[in-house]
Amino acid sequence: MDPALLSLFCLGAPLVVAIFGAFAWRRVPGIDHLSIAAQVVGTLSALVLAVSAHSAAGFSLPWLSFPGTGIALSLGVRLDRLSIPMLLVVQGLSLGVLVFSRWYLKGDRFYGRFFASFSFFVFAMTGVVLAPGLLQAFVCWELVGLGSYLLIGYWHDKPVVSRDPQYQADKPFFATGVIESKLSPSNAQFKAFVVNRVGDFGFLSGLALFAWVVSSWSGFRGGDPLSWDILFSAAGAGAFYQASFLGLSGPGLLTLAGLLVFLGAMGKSAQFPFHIWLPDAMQGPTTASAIIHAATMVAAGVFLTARIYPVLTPDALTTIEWVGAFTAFFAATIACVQWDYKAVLAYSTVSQLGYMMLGLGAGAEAGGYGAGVGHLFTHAIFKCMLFLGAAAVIHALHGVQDLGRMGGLARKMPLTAIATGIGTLAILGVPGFSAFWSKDTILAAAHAKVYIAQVAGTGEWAARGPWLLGMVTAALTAFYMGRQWLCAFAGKPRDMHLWEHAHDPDKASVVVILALAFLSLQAVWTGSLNPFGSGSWLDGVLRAPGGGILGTVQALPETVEHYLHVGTMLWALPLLIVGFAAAVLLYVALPNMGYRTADWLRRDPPTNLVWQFLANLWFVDRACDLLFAEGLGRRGGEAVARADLGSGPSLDGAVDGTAGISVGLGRLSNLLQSGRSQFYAGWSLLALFGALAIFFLGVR
Amino acid sequence: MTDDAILSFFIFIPLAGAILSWVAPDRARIQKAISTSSATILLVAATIFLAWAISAHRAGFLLRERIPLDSEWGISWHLGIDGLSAALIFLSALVQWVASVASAPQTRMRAYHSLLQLLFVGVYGSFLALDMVFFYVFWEIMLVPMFLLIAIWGGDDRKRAAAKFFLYTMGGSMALLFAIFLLRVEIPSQGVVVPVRSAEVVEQMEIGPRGEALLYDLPVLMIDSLGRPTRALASDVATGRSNHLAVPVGRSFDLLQWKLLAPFWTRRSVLGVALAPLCLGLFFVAFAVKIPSFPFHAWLPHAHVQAPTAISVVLAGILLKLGVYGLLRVAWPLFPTAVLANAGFFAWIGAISIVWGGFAALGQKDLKRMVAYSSISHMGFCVLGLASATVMGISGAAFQSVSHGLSASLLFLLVGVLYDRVHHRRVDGFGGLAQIMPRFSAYFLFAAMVGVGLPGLSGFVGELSSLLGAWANAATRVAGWVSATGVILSAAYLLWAVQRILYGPVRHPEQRVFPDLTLTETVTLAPLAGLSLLLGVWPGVLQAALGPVSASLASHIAWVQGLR
Repeated sequence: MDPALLSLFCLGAPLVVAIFGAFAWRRVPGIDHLSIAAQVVGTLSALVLAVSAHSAAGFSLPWLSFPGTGIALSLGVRLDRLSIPMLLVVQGLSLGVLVFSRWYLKGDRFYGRFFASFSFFVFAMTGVVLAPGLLQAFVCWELVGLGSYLLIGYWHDKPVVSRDPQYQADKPFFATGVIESKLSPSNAQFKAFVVNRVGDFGFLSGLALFAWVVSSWSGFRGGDPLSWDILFSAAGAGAFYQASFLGLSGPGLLTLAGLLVFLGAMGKSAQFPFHIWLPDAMQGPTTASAIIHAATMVAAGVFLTARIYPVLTPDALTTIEWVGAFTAFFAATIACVQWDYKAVLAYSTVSQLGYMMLGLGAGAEAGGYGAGVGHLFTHAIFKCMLFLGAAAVIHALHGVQDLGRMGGLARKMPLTAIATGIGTLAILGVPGFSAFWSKDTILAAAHAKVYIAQVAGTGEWAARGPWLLGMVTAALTAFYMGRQWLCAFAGKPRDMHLWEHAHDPDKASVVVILALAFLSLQAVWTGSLNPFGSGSWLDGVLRAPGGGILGTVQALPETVEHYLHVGTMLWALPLLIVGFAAAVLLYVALPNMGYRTADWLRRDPPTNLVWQFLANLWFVDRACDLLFAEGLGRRGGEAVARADLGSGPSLDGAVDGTAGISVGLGRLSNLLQSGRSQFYAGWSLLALFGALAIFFLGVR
Repeated sequence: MTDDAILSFFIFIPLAGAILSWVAPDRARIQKAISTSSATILLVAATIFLAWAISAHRAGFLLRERIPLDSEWGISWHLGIDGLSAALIFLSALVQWVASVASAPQTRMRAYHSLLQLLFVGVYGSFLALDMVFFYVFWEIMLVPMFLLIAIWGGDDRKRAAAKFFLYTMGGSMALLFAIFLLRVEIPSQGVVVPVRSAEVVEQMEIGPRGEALLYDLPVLMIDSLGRPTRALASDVATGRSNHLAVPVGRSFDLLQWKLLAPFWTRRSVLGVALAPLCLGLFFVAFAVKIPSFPFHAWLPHAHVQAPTAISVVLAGILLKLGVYGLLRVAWPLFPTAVLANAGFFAWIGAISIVWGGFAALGQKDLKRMVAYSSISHMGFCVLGLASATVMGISGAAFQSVSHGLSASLLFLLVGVLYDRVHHRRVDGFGGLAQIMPRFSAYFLFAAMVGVGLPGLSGFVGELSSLLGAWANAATRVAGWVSATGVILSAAYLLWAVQRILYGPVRHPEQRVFPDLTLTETVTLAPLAGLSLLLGVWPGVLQAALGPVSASLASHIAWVQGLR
């Protein structure tokens, strides 16, 4: 079958379920089976595509055309070595999560709606992956946002957590930093959508900028200026030298365009300071978080950045690298002091997304493209599994997410503990597990960028900063992820009542997490277990794209690259051991010391500041709330509303005042406002007839 | 020009309906039946015309009818329909139908339904009129019924709101009238021979009895290399043998002939003031009041809050569109050079409307007033798109008009649904309605998403096109960039309202008894929602009607600018 046609199954099957489910989820009980069936179809199609499609394929159909300009914006499908693996990841993980959700949400009051919303999300996400151009990427990007909105607000009837007795009873020991009076599923969905929209403002502007430059380029021969092919070739052929905006032209303008689109990616991929929506999004069902807020949707920003790689200038890439590195470090520090099982994972996701951006930002010649994209795939799988493990734990503990009340769960839920343990080892980057390979590649790419800067003699420290942040983050990651697993599964149970009722999920769900754990082994990716035969398939996937402004990029010599890899490993492994050892020491070897240390950190004046700073999430959430939600949003809105129509001095009043200046006008308006309807009728008719009389009588 | 007065029926059917309503008994069922049947007939006719416009896919008029009434002043009964007016007439008919079904006046049904239909006489007339006298007359006909509908059937503060509406629109109308007069007086008695764009002749040409080319009922002249004019034959034009075409334009109120005079207006001045910018300014004031654009918008929140639901629907769904239509049909074709010279100014008016309206909506405590401000914000995209004078911008403005007609009508109907049940409109007076009224909540979220500009729904297409257009013109680019913040603001105010009204625990237990949407309510909401979805998924169907007209206007503007 035509590959492009086959990919339509991946789009269509979930869409049909979503449409059907939107109307019928209350009445028809079998939506879960339907959605799983659709996902089986999608996954099989994606598998066939991954095995059989060797060259780029696709089609596009005009969606909106503007006569006389040659511009015909189009939608369609594009299959190539970036979209096919991503398609497989999205479809396959969705299938696993749906199977898991049947167990996790059994008996929930909105059960059917989950599967309908989830299928809609899968459709939208597939649309982003298959997009043949920037326009469809944006269209489906927004639809993905809607899917996320619906799933975060799945339990929309819950109150804010400050008034939620269950949350108050279960909340972690050291829960600070969260704005409890604002946190509820309905608030979280709203916040997620609006914060993403801020990024989308950039995306939309970047899209418009690209459309303008490409369609006014002398080489534009009609078609969709936003399709990857035309966009990249125009940028490669110097279209940006023919345009100027705000004094920018050529590479400067291209940097601006690229960074505007990247702003959208920052929103979706929760890069600092847009990360604030992601931890709140954990208000949704944990299985939805597994796919949306861990594996695929938040990775869409990384995917998009990889997509537009051929038009990202070195300046843009450096910015991306810094944003990613800082985000990785920043989120890792916060994760170290979180006591909520899901919050640790949420900040870990933010941190790992930062890693991917760091990798991509290192640039093609440093091998950054392959590093970022590779980590995108490995992370999707182990983080999805970690979240499903979290779902299993939370389900087993009846909604308790407090690490302080867990402990010793390995004996009660051994399979979950094993799978989660493998995932933890993977995210740590322990040799033998997938992220050892992918994270090491990212750090090596950052290292290579330093090397390139040294050779070129430019901006060495600008390159060294992200690399250092990445290294420190590796140690922090080892600490907080190790701490999480140890607190939950190792040691003695701290809450016997909870512990006694804990149990592994049902068989199908266990199969899902064990399968994902298996996929977190390094051998599956780079070794003999790769289902696609050899490493060459993966190499093909991870090779940087050619077109655009990347035509002249040359990779580093093999020997240099090897040297950098080994050097990175020699740095990263000891850091990893230090981080993990600290976690073991604080939470297993000396089990009370962790709490004592935390307590001590909290009380003593100098360290108290650090602790407060971290526990309050660097005060970023509060600052954003104060500045934007309260300040610009509420106060700004009220101020404008008052200025427009308030009882005091306002625009409306000014217009009224102006009208009243003239005495005649004043009298007129008095008459008009006399409240007698015959006056209204009289005046209006008089005006009408007056106008008519001027024409028909006065002129003769 | 044609004798078959098909288009006149758009004016005479609602007029007949208005008279019928006036003489029929004052009983709700009978009145509603008259009102709804007249709207249904018009809706069927409008659908046929829109389908024709879509399949014809051309810039010219599908149908024109012209009956000269006064040879001295050049007044004629001149109506015409092209893709743009077909789309807006379809929207009007749909909104009229929805308003008729949704209307439930408690008193004086006779007068209410009569005035409602009289209002639409003005609406259809304005969308069809190609003679400035009649354009003005229909424009005024809209004013009086609307004024009375608010003043008699409105809320507690209806008198003040109605007076404000009247004063603002009357002020705008005075500017309109003055500009029309000024232009008419400026045409010399012997007429002017003006060059015409050959593409326009090809698009709009009619063939006279002897095979000669006619443009808007005027003979087309060919100018040879020595400057001598000869009558052009249709075959000459069709084969493109001559690029130098001209038309002699005499004194009249004919809008299409005034459009041909665009190069002529550019050169004129009155008392030392250039005519084109002056009249463009007057027209802009007249139409911006209607849109409404910042700073002429202050009547809208009053009028919307006081108007009954159905009248709010008409006001937001149709009356605001007339402002955009006026700019598209009258102001922009007549003064292309002045438009381009002031593109930045107009674009900033649009951008400020978007941002100001968005913030003001964010600060509202009254739900209906919030929707009113959202209208100001959304209509700002129309002004922005028009200011760019590009194909994308112009078609985006037209598309946004239709789309906003759907989304604003949806939102006002939904606010009305709430008001019928609880008799207040405070945003904070609800909570958790998703548990009580699930179908209402689905519609409300849907309508909010249309307003938010979610792709796949119609709101996105208009905003995207307007923004693309604004970016394509150097003068409007920065304003376009600022306008894109509208996507943040619309998400903020609409979804915040959604959150407070639909979600969370039920805050007022007495609201638990609320019934979900009734059949009547569903019948009015469903077509609007369905159409929003259709146009969002498949915008090409409407673009087929709007695109050629927009492209023609854009090239007209560029051509006149090139003549300078």
